This record gives sequence, structure tokens and C-alpha cells, in this order.
Amino acid sequence: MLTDTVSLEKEFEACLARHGISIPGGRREVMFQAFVDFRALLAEMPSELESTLEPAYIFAPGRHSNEVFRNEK
Amino acid sequence: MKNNELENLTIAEVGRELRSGHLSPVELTQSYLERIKRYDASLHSVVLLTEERALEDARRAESELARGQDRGPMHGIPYGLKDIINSKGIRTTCQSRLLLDNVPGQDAEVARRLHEGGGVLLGKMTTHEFAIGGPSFDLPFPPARNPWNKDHFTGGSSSGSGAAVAAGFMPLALGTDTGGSIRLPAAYCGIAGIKPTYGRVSRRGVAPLSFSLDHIGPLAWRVEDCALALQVLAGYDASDPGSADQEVPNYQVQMTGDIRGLKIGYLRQFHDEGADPEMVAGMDAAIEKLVELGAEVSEVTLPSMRLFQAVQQTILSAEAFSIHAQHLRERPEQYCRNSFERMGMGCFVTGEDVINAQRVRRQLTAAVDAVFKDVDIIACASVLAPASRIEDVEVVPFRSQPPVTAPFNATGHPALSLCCGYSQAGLPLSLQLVGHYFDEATLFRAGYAYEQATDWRLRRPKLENTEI
Repeated sequence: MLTDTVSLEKEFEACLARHGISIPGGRREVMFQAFVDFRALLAEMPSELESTLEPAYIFAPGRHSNEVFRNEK
Repeated sequence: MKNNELENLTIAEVGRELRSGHLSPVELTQSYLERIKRYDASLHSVVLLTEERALEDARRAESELARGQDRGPMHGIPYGLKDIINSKGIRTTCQSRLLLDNVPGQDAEVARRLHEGGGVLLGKMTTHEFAIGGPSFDLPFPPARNPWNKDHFTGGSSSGSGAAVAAGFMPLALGTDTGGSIRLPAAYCGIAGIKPTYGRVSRRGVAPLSFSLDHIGPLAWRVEDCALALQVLAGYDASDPGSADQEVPNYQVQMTGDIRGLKIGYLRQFHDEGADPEMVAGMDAAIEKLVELGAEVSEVTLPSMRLFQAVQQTILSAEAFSIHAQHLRERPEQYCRNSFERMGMGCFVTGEDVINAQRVRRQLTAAVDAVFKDVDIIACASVLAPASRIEDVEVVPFRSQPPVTAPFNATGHPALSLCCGYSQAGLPLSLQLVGHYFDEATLFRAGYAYEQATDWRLRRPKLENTEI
């Protein structure tokens, strides 16, 4: 990930444009600094993780899907 | 019975007075309503006083108790609901311009349980906008103020709930906690507040901020009142996808005052740097008291706070943004600046970031559980200093210093904040106790024993009479 200021500014603007978010006047600098600090924090998360750490618990078939099928019958 | 006598009774003691007929639910409710009207103008803890509903609930409780019908420990007990918790037929604004006219057609599950349990709804409580944006002065309603010193912050986002309980406006209020929003006001307002295990209490009918980090829980003057309230609130709800189908134990049974042999791991690393010396001294003294009472204390460590912050912030930003994206795009002016900016951080999070955060979340959870192999409770800071002046609160899109409560939202472990003294300036000090999953009972056991062995609960804030 590019961390020079020009690249960060491009990424910042691209993210806002992609999501259709407009920063009100006078707050751009604060939001940009927050973005830079946030990206720096995210960069501290380990990128090499054990395969057993997959987020499988996000969806667990059988817990709720059976109830959905039951209702649809 | 006078209100200043009432405030020294536990919910269970008030319940006994109601059942014996020495106290009427209607008189009790009127007493609290008068107190709110007399003192809340300078504290702004209540965003909507539901006087008519309160008296209706109280009259129902009175007539039911008189004929021997007992709905349980909350029967006839007044409470408040954080204004992101749906109340049927009663405006629920989330403190936002977007929802000024929102009147839910159904109670949230927690509101339903309290109503079915015979509780008396006194009002909807001030909150930060959508439980994230605050303290803010650009909202339809002013932020709540700390009863110990009204120039100071209550903590948030369950700000009104914390302030109202501390001020003696109600014995119980509900809050929600996504990064500390029950425990922070409990800490700053000098009361007890518990974020239960994730899934312990239904989130149905509560405006979501972050699906997998949101928790609902009680704030009360004493730990034992939190326990009593959780007894009513806890339990499986099939309509909440995150609800845990786990038996609810009797939380009262272990609250005997005996904590001999309880193993406590004292986590200093979260307050090793930057903590107020009075707060550290207060926590250390609380640990010593727990040792005096028979607990066995050892030092423990966890992964770095930065890692917990990365995980919690990523998930919170992504989930909050996904909930609010359309309105953030189309109606940004309807949000207060802080809500807009904090939720807007979600547009900087990639799918890769979110998945990584969920994976690291499992790693961090495993690390906490590894510590719990050897201890029953982890004791640590809930805040690093007493409440600051409200204008000094860092209201920014990204906080450089995260709340020390947030790690246990990421892992879902239950966590209780309780008062452990007062600063020289008269502001509360606090301690956080964290437990094994679904072991709120041990937290209550330790917190109850500590409160019984100290006299912090005898001290109340002095309020300014603002009645017109």
C-alpha cells in the first residue's frame, strides 16, 4: 500500500467519491488526517494469519436457516 | 418515604416496601418524577419524560401488587430507556434530526421484558446521536451533564442513563455498549454498569450501530441492582440473530459477600501509560481490598491495545457505515458533525480490512480466553482519568487514544464497571471487571462483595434545584 502523501490523498478522494460522501467545507483536513491515522492503525494488523482463524462464525448454517426453511414450507 | 431515603435502598429493598404496602408504586413514581422536574434542567439526562405512561404503569403495578399478583423483581420499579431503544407508541429519536418524528409500533425486546415485568417507564434518556456522535452541541437536544459536576462529561453514549441513575432520578436505566457506552458513563458518573456477554441480551428493536459489537445492559447505583435487572433482561430471543441460546443462571445466589479463593488477574498494561495517578491509586486500592476479602490476585497481560483498537475500529466503522451509508450520502446535514465524520470513516475500510479484522478478532479472543484458563476475572481500567470538562472531550473522527473498554466489545466477554472511590475534586474513580463468557454471576459476586466492604455507595452528588 502506498503511503506517500500524494498517493494517500488520491486514495482518500477515491474512497469518498466511490461511496458518494461529501466532506463539508473546512473539515477536509481533519478527515484526511483521521484517514491517515486510521490507515496507519490498520497497517499494524498482522497480514499473515493461520488458516484456522477464518471468520467462519459470521454465517452458521443450521442455526437460523432451518427456521427460515420451516417458515417457508 | 422521602426521596433521599429511597435513593439509599436497593431495587430489592424498594420491592419489599412495595409488596408490604409501606410504599405505593404511584407515590414512588411521583417522587421520582418530581425529582426529575426539580433537578434535570441543568443535567439534561431525560430527553422525553413519559409522565402519563409512568403513572399508568405505576397504577397497574399498584393494583396488581395489592391483589397479590407479582410479576417479579422489577414490579413497580421505575426505569429509563436510552433513546435508541424502541418504545411502543413513544417517540424514539436516537437523538437525531433524522428520527424526530419516529414513533415505533413495537417495543424493543428489552422494553417488552421490563414492561411485562411490571416496570414503570419514567422516560427516554439522552444519548449521543445513534450511540456514536457526542458529546455534541449541534443536535436537537443538549448533551447530558455529569451530576457530580455539571461542567464535566458524563461519558457516553448512554450519557443520560448514567447521569439519571447517579442523580437519583431512577434506580435503573438501560444503555447500549459498542465500545464502552455503558461502562464509560458508569465510570464517569460513579455507578455500576454492565456490558453482558454478546448475545446475552436481545438487540431486537434497538437501533444498531455495529451488529457484532452492540450489547445492551443495565446501569444502576449498585452492582446488585444490575444483577437484578439482568435477571429480567437476559435470555434467548429467536428474532435476534446474535442472541445466545444459553440458560440464564440465578445471579443473586452467588452474591454473598464471600470471594475467598476468587482468582483475579490484574491487567496493568491498559493504564500503564497516560493514566491519571488518582485513578491508578483508586484501582490499586480496590485490588488491595479484593485481596483483603480473600481474592487471589496475579498480574496478567494481553495483546497490545493498538491491535484491539484496530480490530474494533475496523469492524465498527464498516458496520456503522453499512447501516447509515444511504443517509450519509443523501442527508448528511441531518447528522451532527461528529456522527457524520465517525461513521464516514467506514468508507476508508476495504473488504480485506474487514475480513482481516474478523480473523485477528478470533486471535485476540483466544488470547483473552488463554488468560481465563488461570483466572476467574480480569480487573483493569474502565477509564484512564476521572471525567474531564465537557468542552475538553476529544470529539474527533478518529481517536488516537481508544477507550480501554473497547477490547471486550471485540471479544464479547462480559464486563462490569463499578465505582472505586472519588478524586480530590470529588469525581468518581472506577474499575472494570471482565469475566468468562456468560459468567456475569462471578462479576456480580466480586462487585457486590467489594461494594459491601466499602462505603462509596453512601456518597451522592449534590444537585442544583433548577425547577421553575
